[in-house]
Amino acid sequence: MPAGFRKISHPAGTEARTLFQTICAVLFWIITQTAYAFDQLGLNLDRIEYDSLSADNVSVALIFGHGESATLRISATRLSLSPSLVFEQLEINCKEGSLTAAMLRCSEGIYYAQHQDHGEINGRLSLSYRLDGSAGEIVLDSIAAGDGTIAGNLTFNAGGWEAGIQGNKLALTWLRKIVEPFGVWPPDYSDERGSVDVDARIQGRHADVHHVQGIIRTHAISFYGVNAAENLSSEVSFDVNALEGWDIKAGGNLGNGALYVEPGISMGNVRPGIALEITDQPLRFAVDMHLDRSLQQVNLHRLDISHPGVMTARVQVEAELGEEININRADIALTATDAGKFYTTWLQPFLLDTQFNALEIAGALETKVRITANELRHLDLHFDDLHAYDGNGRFHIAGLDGAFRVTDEAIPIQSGMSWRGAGIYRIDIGAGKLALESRDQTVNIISWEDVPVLDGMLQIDAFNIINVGRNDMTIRIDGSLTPISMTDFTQAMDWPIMSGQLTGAINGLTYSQGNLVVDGQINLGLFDGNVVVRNLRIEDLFGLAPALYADIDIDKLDLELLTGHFSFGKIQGLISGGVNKLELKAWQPVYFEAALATPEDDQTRHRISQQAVDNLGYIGGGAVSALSSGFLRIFKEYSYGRLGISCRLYNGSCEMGGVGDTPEGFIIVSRGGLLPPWIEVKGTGHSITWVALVEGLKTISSNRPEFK
Amino acid sequence: MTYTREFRLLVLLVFVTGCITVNVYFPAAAAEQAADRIIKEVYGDKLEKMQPDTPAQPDDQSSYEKLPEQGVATRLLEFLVPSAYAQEANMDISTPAINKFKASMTQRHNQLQPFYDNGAIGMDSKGLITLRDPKAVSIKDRNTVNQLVAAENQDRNALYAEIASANGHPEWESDIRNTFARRWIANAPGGWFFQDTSGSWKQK
Repeated sequence: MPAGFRKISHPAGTEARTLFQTICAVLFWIITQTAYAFDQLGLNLDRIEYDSLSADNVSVALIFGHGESATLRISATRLSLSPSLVFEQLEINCKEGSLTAAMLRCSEGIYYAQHQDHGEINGRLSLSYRLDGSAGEIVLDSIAAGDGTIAGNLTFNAGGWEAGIQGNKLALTWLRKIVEPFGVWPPDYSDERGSVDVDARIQGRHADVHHVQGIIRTHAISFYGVNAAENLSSEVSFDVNALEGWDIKAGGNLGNGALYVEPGISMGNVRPGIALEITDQPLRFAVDMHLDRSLQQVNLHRLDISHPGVMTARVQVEAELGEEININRADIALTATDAGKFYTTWLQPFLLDTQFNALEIAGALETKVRITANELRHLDLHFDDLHAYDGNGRFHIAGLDGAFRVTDEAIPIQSGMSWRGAGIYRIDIGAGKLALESRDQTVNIISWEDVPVLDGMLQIDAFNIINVGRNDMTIRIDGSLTPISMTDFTQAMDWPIMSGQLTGAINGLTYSQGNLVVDGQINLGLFDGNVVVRNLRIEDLFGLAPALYADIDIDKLDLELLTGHFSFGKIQGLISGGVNKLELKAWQPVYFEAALATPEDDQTRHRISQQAVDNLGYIGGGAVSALSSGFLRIFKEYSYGRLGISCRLYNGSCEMGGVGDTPEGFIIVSRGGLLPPWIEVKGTGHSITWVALVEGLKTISSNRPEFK
Repeated sequence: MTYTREFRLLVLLVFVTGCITVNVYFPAAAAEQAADRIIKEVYGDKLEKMQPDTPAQPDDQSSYEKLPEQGVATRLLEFLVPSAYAQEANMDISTPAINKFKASMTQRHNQLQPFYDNGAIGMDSKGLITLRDPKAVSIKDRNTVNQLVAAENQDRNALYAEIASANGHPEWESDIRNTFARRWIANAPGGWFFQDTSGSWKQK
């Protein structure tokens, strides 16, 4: 006698299992009360609803055979697991069923259903269920799933539940259709191709997942989103225990294809990502870590990465995660057999917002790093024929060999390096070799071979690095330069070519947080005179537009030496003065107050050649007019009293002056001297653009050979 | 009678000049012109394909507006109170640092252009660029694009700060950034993506 219900509704919190249990209890009560008076029993339900699950026209029928054996038939016209995952014409037939006072069993059952996208679904199942609700099991045999197959099982008892899923060659397109309705497919991912094998086991209790274990194999999968894969074949095994926080063990290999992964952190304004392209040997990895339940603390017991032909690494980290990451302790051991590929693959993505974002590197390196409380405590860095070139042309080093070691302990450790060549901007530094000693987070040079700088030599008296690895790391150098050709130096700086030599002492040079400052003064010997550079500082030395500030005092340069080797033309006499408030931006002057003139006490001979007089006219693109025309042209040299020129550069123009003023301008060369012919050179106007002035100087230096 | 009028004019002039506080407001029109010059140089031959520019709006923020009559008093006032208006035509964009950033961006633009064209990169509302559609970039190009975007944004940030600094008003940086943000979009060819002030992406 069939029983009928219009609708079953449930109080909030009632579990589906309770519903099933109730139905079975009712069936069993009817059976026991009727004392097997019926050979068939049926139950029809118009509709069952539970949260987002619903079933329409549910029919349950038991056909009794001999003893406890029974045939169980369950059908529903519609079963909706979610609004977009709906099965129709569901039918389960269990010929080998049995029903006892304690247990409902169904072995060799068969189920059928229709799905709008996947067509007919059918397969074998078996189930058992203790009627007191204390235990149960359902096993779904393998069925076709797209071009692959899938099987699953679920068991539960008083201790919890365990589910298993085995998928073989499951197409990503098929998987997407299955999981997308549940919101599992990540947004903005598309163009998925390839297939995966899945063998996973999930254990839990009530709604909590306690343990997930399994293996996933991908077969030439592709997908595109924030992360991406192209023809990726890989195998990953995992074992995640979620009882107290998350204990995660995983490992596997990327056998072929390409993968791009963003770890989800920001470095400056950039979200770095690792792009891997695997062709020959697989990339292998293994991780063992613990995350606390609040996801605020991570203990990475071990992360091993082996990227054949590129690097191997082992990383151990204890850190607190939050808005800022605090590293309590980290140990990193890394060997990069190809430092170039290591940089582009693993390092460069994290340096994109720094000044080291465009390096070209070759060679090999090996390092061990220990960080404690966010500070570098130990560094052991070995180089093997390392070459590094900054793509923006700011620095380079070639053939670097040796080691650089840093310790925070009191017992010193030693290391040493050598290189075949180096350079800062276009100033070449030759081969060098040095020995280092480190203790208390400081590195000192204990021996140094003088190295060539351009055509001179750099002699280092003291060199130390303090607070290595901290934000306030400072490099301090005391030393001197033996003669460097001014021609090479000015050419390297892309300034108007000057001749002569540059020598000098450099004391108290410090580099910290991108800025270079010279505490003392740089004394240069130029053209038998003295040049003192004071207050030198360079802000953002390796930045996009370094800014240099300095004051320069010039004392009694010999003009004959200055001009004798220079195509400007010969001038005899001395010149003194200075360049104050010099400011260069991107190595080009933007402001200075320069004034150079014959010293008042100059007793040397004052003569100027006709060529020099003519070239004074070049300076400023003709802003200067000389009285060297007419009959004076028959003389090759002239006497003069004083010579002087000044320029205050601002807003791209030079406000010019000389040793005296005229109504039309200023006097560059005044009449004077013992012997005729005397000459006076006047400048007209008071202003010339810096560009025109530099062009004038370049014209002079390019029209004639620089050295005679 | 004439003396009386001139005296009154003088008194008025003294009063007016004595009361005026010269606030140098951001010269919006000059900044737009400066931005357009730099942007057109950076975009290079894309200029040919450009849509007509949005005409620069008259500066409604200047502290001083020309009076209808250019009388004696007006001319005197102009002489005595050098107006911010004079700065409109003279925003300095020729410092060595600006030239360096401009050259660097111009050189980089050819590499960025395919990614503007396919919609991978878009212009945001802060005068920067961003990777808006990662799907449009193959894996082998991902880090190249990330590097180009980061370098371009470094240059742009430095450019805005340098223009403000070079013109003696570091506090103008955000105004200059906003001006550039609008002009990058206005000067861009059709089809490129940009972010409006609400953060939504639109295709030009």
